[in-house]
Amino acid sequence: MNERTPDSFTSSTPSRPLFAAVLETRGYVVGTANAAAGLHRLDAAGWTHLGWQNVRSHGLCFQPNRPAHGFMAASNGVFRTGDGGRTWRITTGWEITEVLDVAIDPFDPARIYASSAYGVWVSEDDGEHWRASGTGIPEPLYTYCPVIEADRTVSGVILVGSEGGLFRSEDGGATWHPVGPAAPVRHLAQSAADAALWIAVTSDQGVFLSRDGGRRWLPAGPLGSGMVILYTSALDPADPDRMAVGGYETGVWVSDTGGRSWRRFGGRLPQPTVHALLFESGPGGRLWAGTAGGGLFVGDGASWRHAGLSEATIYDLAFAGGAS
Amino acid sequence: MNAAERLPVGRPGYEGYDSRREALIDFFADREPGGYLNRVCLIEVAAKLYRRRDLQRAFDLLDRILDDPHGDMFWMYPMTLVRYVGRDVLPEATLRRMRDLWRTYTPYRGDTENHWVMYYASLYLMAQMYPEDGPETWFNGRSSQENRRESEGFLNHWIELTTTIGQGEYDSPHYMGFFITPMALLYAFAEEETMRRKAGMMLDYLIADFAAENLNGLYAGAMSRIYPEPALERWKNGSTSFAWLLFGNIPFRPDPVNVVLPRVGYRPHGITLILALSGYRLPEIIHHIATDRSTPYVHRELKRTRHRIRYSGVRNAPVYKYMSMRREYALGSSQGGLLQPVQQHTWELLWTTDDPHRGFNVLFTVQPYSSGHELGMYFPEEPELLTEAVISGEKPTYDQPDKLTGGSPYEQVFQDEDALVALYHIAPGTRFPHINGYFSRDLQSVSEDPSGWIFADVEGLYLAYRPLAPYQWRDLPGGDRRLYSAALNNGAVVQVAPRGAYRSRADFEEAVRGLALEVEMERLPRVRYRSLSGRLLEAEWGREPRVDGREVGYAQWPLYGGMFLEAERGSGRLEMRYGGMRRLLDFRTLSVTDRVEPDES
Repeated sequence: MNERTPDSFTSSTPSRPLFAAVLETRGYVVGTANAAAGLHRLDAAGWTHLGWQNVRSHGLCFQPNRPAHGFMAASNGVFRTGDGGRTWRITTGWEITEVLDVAIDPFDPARIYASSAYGVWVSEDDGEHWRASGTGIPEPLYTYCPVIEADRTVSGVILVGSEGGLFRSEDGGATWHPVGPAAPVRHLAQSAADAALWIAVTSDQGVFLSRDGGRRWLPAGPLGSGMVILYTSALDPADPDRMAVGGYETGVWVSDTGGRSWRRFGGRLPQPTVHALLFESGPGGRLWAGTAGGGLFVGDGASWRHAGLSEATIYDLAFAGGAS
Repeated sequence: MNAAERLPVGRPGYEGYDSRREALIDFFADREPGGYLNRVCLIEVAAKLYRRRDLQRAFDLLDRILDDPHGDMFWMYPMTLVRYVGRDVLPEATLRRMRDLWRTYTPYRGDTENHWVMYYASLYLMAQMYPEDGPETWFNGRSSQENRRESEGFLNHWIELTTTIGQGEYDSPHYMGFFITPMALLYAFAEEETMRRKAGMMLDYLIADFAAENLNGLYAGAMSRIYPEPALERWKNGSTSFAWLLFGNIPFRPDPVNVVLPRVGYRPHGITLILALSGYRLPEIIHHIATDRSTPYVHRELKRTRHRIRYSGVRNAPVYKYMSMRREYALGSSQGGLLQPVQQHTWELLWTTDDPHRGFNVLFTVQPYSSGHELGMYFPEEPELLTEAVISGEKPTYDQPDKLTGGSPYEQVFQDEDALVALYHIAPGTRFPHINGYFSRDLQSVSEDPSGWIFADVEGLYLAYRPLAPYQWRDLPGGDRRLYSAALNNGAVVQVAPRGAYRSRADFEEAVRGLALEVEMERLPRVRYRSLSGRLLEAEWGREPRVDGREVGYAQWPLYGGMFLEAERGSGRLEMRYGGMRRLLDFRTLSVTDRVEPDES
């Protein structure tokens, strides 16, 4: 399946092909003729919808060395593609559902981690077989895990964000230990510029940063006054001091000071609820923002430009062969 | 309804089943789908194929429906039905086209129990039909063998859960058909004897559950899921047609204009056809359970919440159901709280009417809770986004202050026979800090007594309703009224009695006025009430209720307990009882045992 979406071309094109995981479009109802969700790809030719029309897609990742080989975290399970998203195999059975994020082990590309609304799962054979991850995350109170990341510099170190805070494993997910804030973590990311730097955002305690590989976490500076509900974050791959966060009706906040201070990025977004952020590489690189119900926007710091997928709720963004 | 359509009637009673079944199949075989031609219309196609009637028309309709595949599991089950019913009659080109859609159309597995059961039952049967097909021929990239194995695994898991700790989407008059339908498909078409047997036993199980809680064909009592309009006009639920077909205790009346899910175009009565085509025969004992209301009875059930993914220390919280059933009415309840998102129906009084299609024969109260927190317990998306997602879909009333469906964490309900106590302890600052009581247009001679009781009568019952806090009346369409009360500590005592138990309404009122009632609303709601049965009911917020000084015993609540159905929790067994008749379903041994004992009644 390879279809041009009607909401296709935008002059705002990324430097590399960009994938968007679309959870749903407005007015979604199970059992109706919903507009295409799932994987969308943006390149110089415009938008292309790839693969499944009707899949609730939460997260994406692609292998850096095999850009056509990737995984999608979806409500139906963990999907795997070998052709850049045109065809998929659901690698999981009925036992694994509401998968919210997926990560590939940088040291062993056949080792895949998936986090779900029911906990963490591990595959050692490229998704063919899965087993529940080990102990340490209290079930069911904290097993809602929206995000998982594998450290790209230390083998076996995995971090997962859960409803009860951050958990860290040093043995590839066999055992987990709480680290950092005991708050609902919605997103976390490791810096491409400084492997020791991690960012985590929460739904009620703001932004946290770690500068020692995810062992110790400290709160970043506040985003204005009052509580903010954050869903997503991004770290500039070229500048460890530059980072961005977004969430429920927050628009996008950016820091150029390593998280000490924050400012609004690019003025007001037409749809202020942001669920996915991605820096384009290069100094002062543009920032891509996937919104809840408003589609994709790209900003250069001065203003935002709509980049397509109108009315879509975008849960994740990833460059081909790159990080999400 | 098309004027040319003749409603299926069929003969009444247990012996009339075959007559009703034939009439139903004829009805759909003769029916021309109207309006939006989509997968819903596969019901008419299947009936025509089954009857070998208007075959060319059936082929044409099917070809057009195949042009626009959508509907996820609601597409999968009628496609499976048509594929099996039409296997000897459909043109080869159509069969190939249908097969290929299972490669190119990508259905969502869904997010509720009924979705999954439909998805996996359909996938099981389609994988069975093409047992050697490889992963490249299926939408999910899994081979027929993988799909069948996975489907079997889930179906076994669901059967185990249901027969040990209860259904999650329990007793829904709308969704019960979406459990019966996949079981009927498996019963009709599964080639493997074990699966077919399980499906047949599950049909007995689900239908017996319905039988014990229906009053003249209307599903009664506490429910996991009901839509607002059919909450008041109960016959509009699909369960009514199953009652007609299986029990013959309510007339059949299809609903041509869909009131429940207009966007889907779904007609809730159509899926009854699938059970009719399945070859399933209702055991006589279930028919008696469904139709004999000569003796009042108390019936208890244990159900569970659907899977909780956040904000809960338990994956599935227990649901304790209680029903007092009489010829004249059914008073049923659960314990309250957040048991099911959006569509929970915690308690109700439903009474017998001469015309069950008239509707509005219910009374209940609701705390109109609306919160992303509730939705986030059960759905994985961000809680702040979920309310908008729900109301922009098919549940627009979820975030309305005058809504009449839904559960609340601020609600606690307790019932003993024909008396019920509903307590509300509403947190300040909650979105809609009040309660709604639904009072039907049909209640007669409603009087607000100086004693504080509201008295009314209707059909065969007398009603006494005691508000526990100041209230106002708000008008609803059609002459109904909403009792609105804004006190944060709130509640009601409800006492019902059959008309025949008193010489007059005045006698009933006098008896109720004389009952001891102590109410404490200052800090936490608390009620001590000596009911008409003479038993002392004690309800206090946050504590297990007591009857005559003893806790009601939630920890020992049976999976089923009452005159007609008995099952211990965790047992995987259900015994049906009627007079001397016994039928035991044992899912541990996959056996069904019928026997007759001396009737002690």
